Amino acid sequence: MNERPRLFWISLLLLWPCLAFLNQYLITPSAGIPLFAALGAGLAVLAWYFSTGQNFRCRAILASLVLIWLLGSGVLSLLDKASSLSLALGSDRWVLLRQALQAALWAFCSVAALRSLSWRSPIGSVLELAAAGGIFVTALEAHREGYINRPFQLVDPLWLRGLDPTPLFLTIGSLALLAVCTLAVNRPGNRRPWWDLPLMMLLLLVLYLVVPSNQVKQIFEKFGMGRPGGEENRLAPEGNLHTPGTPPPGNGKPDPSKKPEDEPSFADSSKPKPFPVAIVVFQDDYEPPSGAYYFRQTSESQFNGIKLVRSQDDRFDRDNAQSFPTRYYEKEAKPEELGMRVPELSRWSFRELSTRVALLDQHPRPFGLINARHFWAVSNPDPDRFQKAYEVDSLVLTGEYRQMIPNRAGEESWAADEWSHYLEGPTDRRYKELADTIIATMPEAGRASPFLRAVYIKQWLDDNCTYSLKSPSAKAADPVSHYLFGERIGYCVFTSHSACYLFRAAGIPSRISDGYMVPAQQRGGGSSLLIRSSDAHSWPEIYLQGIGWLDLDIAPKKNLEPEKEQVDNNLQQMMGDMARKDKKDRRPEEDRPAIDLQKLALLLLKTAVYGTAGSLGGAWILLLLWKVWRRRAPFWTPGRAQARVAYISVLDRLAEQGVVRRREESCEQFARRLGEEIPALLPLVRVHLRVRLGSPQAESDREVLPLLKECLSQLRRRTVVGWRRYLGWLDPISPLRVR
Amino acid sequence: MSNLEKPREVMKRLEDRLKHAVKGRASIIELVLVALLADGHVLLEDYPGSGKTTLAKALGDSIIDDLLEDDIPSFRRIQFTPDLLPSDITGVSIFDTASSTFEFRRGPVFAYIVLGDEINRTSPKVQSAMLEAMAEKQVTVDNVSYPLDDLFFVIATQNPLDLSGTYPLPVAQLDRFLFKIRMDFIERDAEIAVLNTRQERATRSSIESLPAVNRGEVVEARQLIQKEVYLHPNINACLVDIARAVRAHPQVLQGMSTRSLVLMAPALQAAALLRGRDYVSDDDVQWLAPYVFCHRMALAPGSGEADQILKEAMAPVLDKLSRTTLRP
Repeated sequence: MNERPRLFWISLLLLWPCLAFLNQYLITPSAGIPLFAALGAGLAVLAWYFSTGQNFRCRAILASLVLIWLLGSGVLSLLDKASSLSLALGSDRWVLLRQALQAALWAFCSVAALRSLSWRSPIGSVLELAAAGGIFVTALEAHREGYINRPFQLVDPLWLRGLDPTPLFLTIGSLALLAVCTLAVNRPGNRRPWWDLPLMMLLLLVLYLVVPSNQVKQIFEKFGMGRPGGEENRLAPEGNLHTPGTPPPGNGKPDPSKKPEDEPSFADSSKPKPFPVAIVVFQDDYEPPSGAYYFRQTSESQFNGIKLVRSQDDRFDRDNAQSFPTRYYEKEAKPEELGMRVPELSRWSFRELSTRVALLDQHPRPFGLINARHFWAVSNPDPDRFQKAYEVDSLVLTGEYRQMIPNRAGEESWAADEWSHYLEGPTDRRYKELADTIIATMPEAGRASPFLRAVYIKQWLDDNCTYSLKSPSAKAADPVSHYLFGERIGYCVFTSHSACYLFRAAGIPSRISDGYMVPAQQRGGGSSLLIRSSDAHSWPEIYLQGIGWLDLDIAPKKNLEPEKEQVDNNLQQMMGDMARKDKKDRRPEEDRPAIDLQKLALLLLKTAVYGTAGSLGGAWILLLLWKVWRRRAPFWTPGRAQARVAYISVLDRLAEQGVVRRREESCEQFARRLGEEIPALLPLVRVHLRVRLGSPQAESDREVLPLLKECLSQLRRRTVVGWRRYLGWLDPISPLRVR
Repeated sequence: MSNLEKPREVMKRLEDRLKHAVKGRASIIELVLVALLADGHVLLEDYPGSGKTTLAKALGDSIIDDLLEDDIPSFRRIQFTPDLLPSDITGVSIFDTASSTFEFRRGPVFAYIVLGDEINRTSPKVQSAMLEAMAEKQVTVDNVSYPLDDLFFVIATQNPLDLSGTYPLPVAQLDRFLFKIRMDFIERDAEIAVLNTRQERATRSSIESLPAVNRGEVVEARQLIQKEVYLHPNINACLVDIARAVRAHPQVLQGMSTRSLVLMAPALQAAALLRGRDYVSDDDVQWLAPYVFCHRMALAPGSGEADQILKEAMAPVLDKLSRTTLRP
């Protein structure tokens, strides 16, 4: 325990930082944070190396690491509170730096703990190996069964060229196994119990089996190592706009019915890297007059004193589906089955359009191109790639906007409380005053038209707002008024709320809808449209008689955000083709019969048998490669190590023939025992021992290679009885018996 | 290695002569040579007529006295009996009437090679006088200390079976001997060879043809071996581990002393040279450990053989050392 490892630690110094980098890279693709994590891991390996000379107790080391972790986290949270630092650095840079430091701290503590445990107990070394393997497994698991997931950079270039990334993953997996095996066989000291390899395999297998059920993901998230693509990234308008569980600051009366999963809030958050969430296949060509496709998933119209939330009253906003469709196309099916109530629309302004949506990511409820009339189940065209698929019948707007000028706002059939529901806004008088001011700029003739009033308000907001993913109003007590009557810098949640309150102040029934907005030109004339997570959006809608809910999105002219990355059209079309493949024989997931236990058992058995056979075969091949390596090593190992390596290679062959040194024998006694058959072995042992036990200046007094060759030729002449004579080389564990 | 050519050659010459004189005792001859070059003494546990006198005498004959002025003989034999007195072995001061002074007459310990036959038959008083001479390499008579020769080497014997009327050596005194060697009857072929070569060995003409060594060469070889044969720290650690394992053994009342480990080091070096190496290997430890350690262990009553316990304690330590040599 007290002797210092020699070269071994240098390989660790390379390996662990790489692993830490990979682990953090899964969580965040920005380069800085993984680099810091790698730095932390490197420091941990160094610290471990310098601790090996000392006689520290394991418990003391672990306790001090916990202490370091607590202290570091404490210091970071203190720095968080010291506002001067974030002001000096700029809050976004500070957030990045803080995450980087956190990652470095985490990497340092965990790597140091694993390393110390591994150095001091055999169980610990297994743990370390399993952790190393686990990092690889989680990296690859993200892409399991063809999912497109982080780290995108691994597969994006291949996908874009239409190539299959499987060989890449196989290579990475093999490299990982190789790295872990190298780590396993190179461990110093004699703490190498026979059961560690099987145990490690078992741990990795368990990890592999557990990973799909998201348990590891949850564990990782619990400890702040959040795995990518978590639920929190899904369908939050314009990136990750909400922090789950925390109500907007200053919200005096939090709505108990509030569902944080899919309601927008005003809290700032860093923007995650966009990932594909769905592919939409158009059955017919359609260009929206607004210039963008709006896919609505939910709507908020209930004013809660601060913002609009989803109404619990089932009279409102029931033009959205409440659940995924389970029925195939049927003429008689009613939208009511999906909890939908669709308003009557004037048919000449709309036309029917069917789209097929294939979800690449989980969603709580379906979304569709507005205005969705009905949803139909379709079989999943590629269950390995898509979560779900469905078809949507929509009535899409074809008329021109000026035709809507005479339309009246709201529905005449609405009861008084329905009207007040869609007109309720803040009591703040400034909204009304602002709306009046804007309307006052209109020509007299147009003031009677609710549509024109709304358009003027929209244009005023277009002219006077600044789009940014960071808003100074995010933490205000009343974010909307702080935004609208302040600097007007913010993102879609601010613009949609501002517009909605102004519309309501101007007497136009309005609400906010959430979903995805994709610019029309992205379709590029093809029939497929890829929706990415960054397309999540929130927009205001007004209700016009005969038109229904009309999206009237605000597009601020000043934009502080960079242009969005263009979607590769080939990828878009390719995925569209995948989504279009219809397998008639397959029923939708929801209609599947109850699980067939017998089939399941058979599947499990098959998996177990094939998995065991496969992993045994793989391990066998790897061990054989290892054997070959050990055999050839004397021919390229230079200097003092050559004698040892040569002796080992002879021992390997002897072990194949079933001859190993007995426990109570010394190396020389062993060589003397074989002296008659292999006379050259004793000189080889002597040369080897002279290097290992002789004076440090001693050079080997004989040439190693001629001795080795002599040994080998004598070995070949040796009589071996039984299967070992011809099949000994197939024995994968013979090197493990060498002593 | 070149520095070690001379000691090896000395060893070879001695070995040749001894093997010529004593048939079928090769392993004991090697041990005796190792003890001679490690500056230790040997206790042979043996029955009468097994060739120990022949061995000791041949060894004495093989060493040529090149210090003629000190008139110390190369070989003396002391037959220990119960009525022996200390002065019978150390020597005595005699009043010389001619010069009116006390003159010291040297006893039989003043020789290069001393054979102490049946050392357990004499009284403890004589035993302790002998053991003082062995430990201190000096003899004190009438308060005057007389140094013994540097080469002073004792081969003592005792009969393991016929114990009536003996004074068994306690463990503390056995500690003075580097090796305790238990001899067995020799092989059939060797015994036939003894009979066949009886005539020529009796005339001693043939042995004279083999080259002998000088006293100075042996003393010099001792120093060179200690200086030149490399003793790796791992071997030392290994020795300590063995000693600790033996001490921790439940059947061992008293394990070997640290001194025995210190004495072991030169013996290992000499053994390494004998095996043709310039470094000590675990093989040497395995070879010498039973002869060095077994008579230094006090076992609990009713426990097994000391060498079995030692073997058990030694195997894992040496196995670990062998495995360590395979690691980078």
